[in-house]
Amino acid sequence: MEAAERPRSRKCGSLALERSDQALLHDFLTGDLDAFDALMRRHEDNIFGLALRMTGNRYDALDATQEAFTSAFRNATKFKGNSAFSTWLYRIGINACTDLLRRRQRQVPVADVDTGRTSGLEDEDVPLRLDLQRALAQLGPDHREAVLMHDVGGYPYEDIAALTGVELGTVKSRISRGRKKLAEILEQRDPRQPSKETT
Amino acid sequence: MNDLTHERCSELLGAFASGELDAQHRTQVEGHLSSCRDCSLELAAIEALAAPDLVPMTGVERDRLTGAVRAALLPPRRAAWSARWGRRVAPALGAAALLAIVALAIVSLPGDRSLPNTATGGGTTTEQVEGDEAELKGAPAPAAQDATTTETLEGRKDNGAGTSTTSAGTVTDHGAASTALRAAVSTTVSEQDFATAGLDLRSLVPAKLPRRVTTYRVVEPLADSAPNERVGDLIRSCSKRAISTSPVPLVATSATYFPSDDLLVIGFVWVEGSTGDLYYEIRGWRAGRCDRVTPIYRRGVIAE
Repeated sequence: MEAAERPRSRKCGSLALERSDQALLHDFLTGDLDAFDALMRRHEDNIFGLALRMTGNRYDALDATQEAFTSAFRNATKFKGNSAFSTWLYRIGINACTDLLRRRQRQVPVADVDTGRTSGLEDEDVPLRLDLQRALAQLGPDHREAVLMHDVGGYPYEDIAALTGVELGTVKSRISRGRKKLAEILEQRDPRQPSKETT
Repeated sequence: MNDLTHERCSELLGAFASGELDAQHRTQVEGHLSSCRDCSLELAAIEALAAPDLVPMTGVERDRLTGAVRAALLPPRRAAWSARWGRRVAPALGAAALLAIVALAIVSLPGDRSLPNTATGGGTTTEQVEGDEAELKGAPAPAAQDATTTETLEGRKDNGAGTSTTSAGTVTDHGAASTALRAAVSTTVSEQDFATAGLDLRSLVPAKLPRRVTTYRVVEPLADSAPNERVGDLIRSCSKRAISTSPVPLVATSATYFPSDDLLVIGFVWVEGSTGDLYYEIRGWRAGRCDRVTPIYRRGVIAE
């Protein structure tokens, strides 16, 4: 399976001639709607991709993305600059998804066992493996956050450490353990996978 | 040979998966992977997370997202719109005058490029709040008892107390204007919206229902009784959305539309399997956003 293009490389290339996130955020706080538009355009795909993985369906992903941006812009003055704005926003996205999932615990869409498709959403094509969303939900919050920020968001260890206020080594071990647990959960769910047991 | 530590390999796996490693490091990682189950697991997780089959946002989805976030950040302006062009003004003005005011609003909103300082903007919350789990045994409001027989679940359009009962012509005009302003209006319904619309939620609670509640197409009669086609379509979409995402078998029993607020409220019932009790749920959607997750504003048991 080809790995998807990593957000990290895309970010480095495109920001050269544009205003920084910090500058745009400052402009936004003085009432500049164009800065608002630019910030949204720049980050909405990242957050949406995150939300799609965490919620498993498009309706919820769009809701969570909306909540994340609303919350971030509302709390823009609370961004301290310990990390990149993008990292801070990403964490807000993770929290928005977690909140949405918690509210909807009673409303989990029922998935068809054979096709994996969710009932009631037959108009939308949702090719995402539902088990990824469920597997992520089973990780502890610290591990899930670290794995999503690094492996999906593409943020470097140092940035994650600065944002979450933990040691670099802690970030690395959370990512490592989170990945392992995720793979083990997915392995159990997918009957097509051959056993990797070597011991 | 291969002197890659386990920790170092873990750090390199991301770049390895996306093909960014140089040849030497790639060979080292491959060598380590062949004998390390943990790293093989980590790599499997990275590949699963990459999920290349995800479909990015469409143009329509992007526009809605931006519009919704922008509207949520503009509560002072939104409140002003509801107060000035809401129900209180409607009775005093003719349809033409109302349309003229609304048309002015369309012109002025996009042209104004300034935002209030969000640090000071208090605004109403868009947090979605679960309604009370109120057990309203035997205490429905009187308004709920009209029109519906207790033998059948007819589609019932309940114009609750205080709704702006506008003529068909005004509803049509308002609907057209509402469509144009939809992007600028918050899509999240709050308790305040119900109060503004003059709706006591308890008035939507069915008084009595037959014990045999089966899932059948009650939605169509509800949609057919709507004031116009747009509202009819909204009833269908919002009902479908609620029914398909609920773990319990909801049946829509009432639909109420407030044209001045572009607010649609649908009442549902279901039978609790273990006890046989009848429950009701009331949900609201704003500005036609049937794709939005909506909180449940009232939920409780219907007494025998």
